[in-house]
Amino acid sequence: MAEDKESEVKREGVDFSKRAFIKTALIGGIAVASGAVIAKKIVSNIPNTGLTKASVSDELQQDMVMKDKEFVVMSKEEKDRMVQMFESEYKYTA
Amino acid sequence: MVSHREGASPSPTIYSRGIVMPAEEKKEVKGKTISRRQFFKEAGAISAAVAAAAASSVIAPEEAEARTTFAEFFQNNYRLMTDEEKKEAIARLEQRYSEEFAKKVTVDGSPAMQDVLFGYALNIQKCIGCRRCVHACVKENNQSRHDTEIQWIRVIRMEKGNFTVDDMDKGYPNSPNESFGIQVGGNAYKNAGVALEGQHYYQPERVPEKDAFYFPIQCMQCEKPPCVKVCPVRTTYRDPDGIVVIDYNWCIGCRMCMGACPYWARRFNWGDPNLPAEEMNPKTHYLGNRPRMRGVVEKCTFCLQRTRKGRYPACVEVCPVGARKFGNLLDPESEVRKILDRKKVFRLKADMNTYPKFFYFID
Repeated sequence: MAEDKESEVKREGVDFSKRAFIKTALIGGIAVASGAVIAKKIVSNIPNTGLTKASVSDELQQDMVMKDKEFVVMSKEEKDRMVQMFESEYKYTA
Repeated sequence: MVSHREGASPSPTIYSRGIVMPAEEKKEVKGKTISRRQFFKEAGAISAAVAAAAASSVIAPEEAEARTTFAEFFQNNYRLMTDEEKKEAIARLEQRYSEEFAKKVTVDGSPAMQDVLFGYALNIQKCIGCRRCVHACVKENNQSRHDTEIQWIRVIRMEKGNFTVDDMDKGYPNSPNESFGIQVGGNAYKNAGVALEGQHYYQPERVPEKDAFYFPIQCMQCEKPPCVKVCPVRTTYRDPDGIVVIDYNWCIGCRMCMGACPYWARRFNWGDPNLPAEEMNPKTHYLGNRPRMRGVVEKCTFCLQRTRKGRYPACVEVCPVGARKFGNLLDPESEVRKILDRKKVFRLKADMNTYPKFFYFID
């Protein structure tokens, strides 16, 4: 009986026992995780020359802000109304 | 591991293609018989795992980061955290930064002060374009230093025009009565006073230059900030003291806020910020100048790590001509309120109705 069971788990030269399965799964898991860590490190350490270009491009957009500028001096009423709005908004939200 | 019963002869293995191959050679190890193929397979897997683990430990020495990454990844939005959770998050960061930068780093979590609404005023006549404010800001707020250099303040050089009030009634040349009046960009003789576009990368020998004035731009801390409205994860929000803040840990780097900002005042970390340990400012705030990571957005916070403690922002302190003023908009005796009362004030892109709390003024 026991021999039959043993022969069943070792069919075709492959070990189907629980122990062998856990062992293979464990080794496989470690290998996959380690591979992922290495891949991530390699990818993140590749120098990307486009980064500076992208940053500069972002900053240059701010120069364009001045294209749509409008320098309108605020009137006394406008300033008072704005301060009043700030005060009432603060009371409302605080 | 393959073992065979004693006395049993190895049988040929039939592979899927139907070719009968000779049985594999067996070897006895510690009383167990294994095939050579099996031995190489297991030895290969084990050595690969060991090599990978060793290599990853050599490549990634950031132990402190590794220890906190998991907890940080799963932490909640800062605004929704309980006081206890906030304390834990701050303690975690303090430990990580202290180890990373090899100095005692503090992360402040001070909330907004009561009855305070911060406002900023800049005298555009006084600014000499020295950019000391830019560099003081970088130093104070732990911005990336090089490769992807990040600056929250940009000083734009503008061309000084020569249009004066005396020209207001003059029109185009050769017109019968010269009564066309002021046109967009001045009249045919003189422009309206400024060039249409500014220059950021000016390198003069001396400042201020003749025929130029300078226009610093930074986050306007809008009362109705469009960047807050568009944030899909609500990582950026307006605190009660009027400062628009960002929870860097919750930011997904979608850059929606950057597109929404009419002043283009936000910056994106395209790469890992380059912050040398010796230049790192150890007095940080969770929502302010703590070191950022790749893929998140950042911007001026009116130096909230200072201003919430009653100090001036770094740019105000460093300005050599006193062009920058800062104060509480709710206090009628504050500098900024006095400027609003007495000076000629204008706001940038006021027509957008974002109600910026950053004012430009002239004497």
